[in-house]
Amino acid sequence: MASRQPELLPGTLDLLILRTLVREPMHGYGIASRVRELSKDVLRVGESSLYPALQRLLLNGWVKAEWGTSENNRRARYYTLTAAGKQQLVAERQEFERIVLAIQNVLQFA
Amino acid sequence: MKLLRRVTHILNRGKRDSDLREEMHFHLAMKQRELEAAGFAPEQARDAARKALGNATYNREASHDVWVAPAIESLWRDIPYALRSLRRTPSFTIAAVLALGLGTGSAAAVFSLLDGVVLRPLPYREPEQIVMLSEVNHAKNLEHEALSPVNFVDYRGLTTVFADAAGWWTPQVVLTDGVQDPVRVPTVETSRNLFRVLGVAPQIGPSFTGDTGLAVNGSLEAVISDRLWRSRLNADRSIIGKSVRLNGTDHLVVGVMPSGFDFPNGTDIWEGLNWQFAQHSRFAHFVGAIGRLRPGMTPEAANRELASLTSRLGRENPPSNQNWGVRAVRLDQEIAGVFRPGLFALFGASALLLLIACLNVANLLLARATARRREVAVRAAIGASRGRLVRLFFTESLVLAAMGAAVGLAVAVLSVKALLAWSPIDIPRARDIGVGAGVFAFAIVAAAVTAVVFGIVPALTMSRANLNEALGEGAKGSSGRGGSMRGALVIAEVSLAVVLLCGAALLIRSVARLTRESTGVDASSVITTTVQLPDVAYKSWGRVARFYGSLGDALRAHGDVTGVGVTDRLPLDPGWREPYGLPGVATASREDAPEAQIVSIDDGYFATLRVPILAGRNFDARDDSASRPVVVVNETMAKRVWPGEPAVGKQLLLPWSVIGPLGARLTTDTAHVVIGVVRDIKNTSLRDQAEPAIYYTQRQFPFRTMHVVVRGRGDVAALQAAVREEIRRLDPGLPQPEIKTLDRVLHSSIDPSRFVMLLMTAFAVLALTIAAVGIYGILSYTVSRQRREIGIRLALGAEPRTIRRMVVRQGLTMAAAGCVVGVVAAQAGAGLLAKFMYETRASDPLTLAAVVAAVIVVALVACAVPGWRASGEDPTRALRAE
Repeated sequence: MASRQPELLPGTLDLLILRTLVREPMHGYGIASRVRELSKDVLRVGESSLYPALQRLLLNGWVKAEWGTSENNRRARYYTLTAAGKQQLVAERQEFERIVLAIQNVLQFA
Repeated sequence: MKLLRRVTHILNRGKRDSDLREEMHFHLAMKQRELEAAGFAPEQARDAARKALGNATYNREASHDVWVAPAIESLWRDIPYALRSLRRTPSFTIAAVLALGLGTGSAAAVFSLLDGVVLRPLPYREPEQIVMLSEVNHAKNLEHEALSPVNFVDYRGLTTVFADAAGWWTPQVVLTDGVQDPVRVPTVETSRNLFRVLGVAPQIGPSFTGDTGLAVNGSLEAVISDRLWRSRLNADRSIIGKSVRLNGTDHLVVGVMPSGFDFPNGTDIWEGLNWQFAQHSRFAHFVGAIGRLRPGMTPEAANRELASLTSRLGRENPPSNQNWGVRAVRLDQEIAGVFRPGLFALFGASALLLLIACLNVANLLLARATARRREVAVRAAIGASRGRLVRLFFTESLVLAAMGAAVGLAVAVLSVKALLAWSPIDIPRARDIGVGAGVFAFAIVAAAVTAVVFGIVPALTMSRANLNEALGEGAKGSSGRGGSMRGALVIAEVSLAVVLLCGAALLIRSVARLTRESTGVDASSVITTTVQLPDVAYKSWGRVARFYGSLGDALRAHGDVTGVGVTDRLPLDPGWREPYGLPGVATASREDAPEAQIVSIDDGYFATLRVPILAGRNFDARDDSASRPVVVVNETMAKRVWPGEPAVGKQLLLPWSVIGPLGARLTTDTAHVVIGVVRDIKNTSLRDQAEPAIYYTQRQFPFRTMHVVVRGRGDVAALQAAVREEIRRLDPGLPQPEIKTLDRVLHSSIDPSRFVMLLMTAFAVLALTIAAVGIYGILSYTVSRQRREIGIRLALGAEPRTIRRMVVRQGLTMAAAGCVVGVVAAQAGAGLLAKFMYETRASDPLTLAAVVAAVIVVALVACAVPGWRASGEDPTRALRAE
């Protein structure tokens, strides 16, 4: 179990959620599924960290939540990226790439 | 924004929770479907989905914690714990809550008074631009006189300082309506622009005709107060356009003022001025006046310009105006008067008291914290974080402060109510005093600040504590750290209490000196009332004189009455100051002539007040309007005019024959023979020596308004009933008089000093009590910490006396240090009370000695209990404990 769910770098969860919301509003389950699919099952977002993270994003005003209807006609809560959220995504992405680059540099040349 | 979102979330917690629950439920269902699609059986799918999602409640809580700073939440959870832990130490809790409550409560109460009397703006338009005028004559030692109407017209017309100014005087007015009893009504006859100057309009009615200046138009108009309108006229709106009968003359009612408006001095009727100020006299000072400064003019600039005018008037009219000046004082400051410095001083005192209370609570918390180091260590050892521990103790302080604030508010509300209900002292603007929102805010802020301060100090020392050391320490029983800090806190408490005690003691001495200061009369068992004969019914001065003669005779016939007298001026109330001449001595001009107060009395006045005749004789029946004019002079007058000679038989030239509509001399000759010399009666204030005074008999110089003084044997109520009955029998048309004891009337001038003294004393006693609790607390704490040490000493043969002395010495050292600091600080702070001190210096050794003695005695009492407890310790038990 532990080997299948590598630990995310701190702060990456927010980045991943924001990024998945760029295309369209999604509900929590959708976000988790999308992350899992796109990462080819490498990254699994635990529900126990997903919902607190979504609350954190709501608190910071980076996403909005609205009740809507899901693909199978159930009431679901959809999260939408706000303008502030888009800015945050850009900033976090740059920061992330900077760090990844730094790590790669170390791995390559050390 | 973030904060706003956080707050709305916390307020909407219910909705947010149900949203989350539904959201997770949805998640669960989707997961289950997915697993079923992958071929799991429905049962298995549900269990697997549940497992994947984890503990739903934990998830919800974790999501919730994102929004609610966990600190606040756990603070809330800590409150029941804090309450429980406070309940375990009831004496500590009671002491702390009482100290805080009394501290915040007294400060809030004084702040209510300060706010109502001094700080709150007057309910007039731009009140800061309104000044009150009074005339001064330093040469004659007159600091606060009414204005001469002619001078007033000049101040208003010949300077540029006023947008407008209004003047009034205070006639004696009786309201009659033929139905109810006649009633004397506080009335002013005022220039018609008064309401315009104040910026207040009647609630109904058009106000005076021609109310733009000092012009006189001959119409008899009156404006009445809301109070009079409701109490006497049934709040009848059709009163406008009808008449009220004032002193027998009909006046058209042209307005009812708004509720609460009674400027100046509780006025109920404002009559429109019907005589020209300019045509009166510069010698007569009887007009009250206010002015509205023109925009941009400050009181300082106004006073400068007025001063240059008064010095010019002094040069142009030396007899009347030499040495006279005028002073403009902001109306709110004038109304608050001596209460302004008084309340500021008291506010300072209550702030000190609050500080003492805070120090005391901090001290108690500190001691408690040290005593709980073991508990803390155990908690830390089993995993409580440092922040969590700080929060725990912070919550306790917060709970304490909240309870203290609640007690404080109760104290404030009750004490202000009690003060207003029972105070024998007239507090200006008393109607405006209330414990309002500002005071509530004050108490809450005070409580919050104390909570932060108290919470942090013990919590920090606590978290610094080394675990091992703390855990091991209880067993060793050493005296612990923080002792010196607590000692310093107690010394600070004592020194602040000493400052307050010094203030209170100096005031007590001043007031005692003032009270002892002889007025020159014996006022005990004397009641007094004022009778005012309306000038329509008592046009004849002979009738006036006969009325007072008969009233005196009738009262003297009562069994309980041992003396009756009448006078137009009671002691301490200056009489008319008039110039006098001596036969054969040329008097150049009026202003060169010496002046003396003239007072009109009857034959019984001196005897009733037990003022001895020093030479010659008192007035008697021989001295009437048909006989030669005679006077009695006071000792000061006799010594000044005829030093070393007998005054009796000498002559005085007294030209004054009419005092406005108030009094008139019935004899024709200006030469008056001195028939007697009487001992001085104070005739300006308690503080000042008597001015020269000349007494007339009221048969020769009657006044319509006289004060009756009656000395009696029986109780005051019977005496009052007798006075009322005789006045009614002689003239049922006179209003029912208000009767007071002469003592009360004469001592009303020291009321503000007494007021400040009483509150200051209460604060000082509270402060000393709290400081004593502080000393007691720290000593009993030290003793209990040193139980082992004391036990060893006793076991090794130390005398209980020695142990006792050791404990007491600790307490007394702190008290003595506090006294030294406090006495020095009191010397610096005494200036605040200068206005209330009388012949008492801040360094008065007797006062300081008394204060120090009181503090030492109280400190000894506070030391005694812990001292006895220590010396009575059973060595075996003490050594075994802990």
